[in-house]
Amino acid sequence: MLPQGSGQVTPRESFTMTARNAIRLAMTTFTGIVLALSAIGIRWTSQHQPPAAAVASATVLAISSAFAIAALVVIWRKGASSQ
Amino acid sequence: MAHAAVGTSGSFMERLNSEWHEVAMRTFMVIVLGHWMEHFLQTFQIYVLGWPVPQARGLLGLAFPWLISSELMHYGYALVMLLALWALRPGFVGKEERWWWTLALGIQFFHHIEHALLQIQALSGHNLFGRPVPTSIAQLWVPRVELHLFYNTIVFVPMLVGMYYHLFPPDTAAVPGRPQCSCAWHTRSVASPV
Repeated sequence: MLPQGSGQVTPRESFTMTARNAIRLAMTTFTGIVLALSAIGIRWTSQHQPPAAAVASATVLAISSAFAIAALVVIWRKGASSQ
Repeated sequence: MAHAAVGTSGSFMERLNSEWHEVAMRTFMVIVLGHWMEHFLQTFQIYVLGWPVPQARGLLGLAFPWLISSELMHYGYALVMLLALWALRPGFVGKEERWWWTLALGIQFFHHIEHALLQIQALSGHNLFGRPVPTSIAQLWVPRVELHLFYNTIVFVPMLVGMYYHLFPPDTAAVPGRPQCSCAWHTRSVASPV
């Protein structure tokens, strides 16, 4: 016999288009563009720049991507706003 | 728009960070996003369309090529960014929003120093490190296009998070007496629900 409650699944929170989520999506779109350009940029610089410059470019573009991902984590995490 | 921080009296800075904060922030964002569009377009021209770097000048730079090569214009924008980040900071009263906005201000300060170095070289005609063109410190290692994308991202991302917390302050209920900026969404949603 399964332990009591083991088969229960917590219902997923439905996504509603509140003002907060609309702003989050706009910010996500922007950071998505940054991430996409950084990814394409890392590939492009590896093919078109001297090795030392390509490594430096890849490093700063990777840091840019890390900033963008950090922003997404912060704005989308639960409890990022009480509203 | 209701604004509880400061009334219609007060110094310019007080009014900028109370009754004018929303308009000032929107104006600032139009400028910043316009600048971003130019950088997005420039990197798109290089990385996707395969244009040679000197010919990838964004949109305005195609019509006005001097814009992209003018160190004064670049320095002017860096200065406007720095001043706006500093001047609008007192309006960020919450703990989280203030922290992220201050981080952006700190990074922009260093970014501005880099542009100041370029501007000094352009004005004096003497380039640092024996380079043929004005060169900033980070440019010793990182090519200019990628460096610009990097600086703009690491300044704008903390601004973005700061603005998010400013729009949707998490600790409003916890601090009942806290001034409410008209930028905050709930101050306007009472009058005009979304």
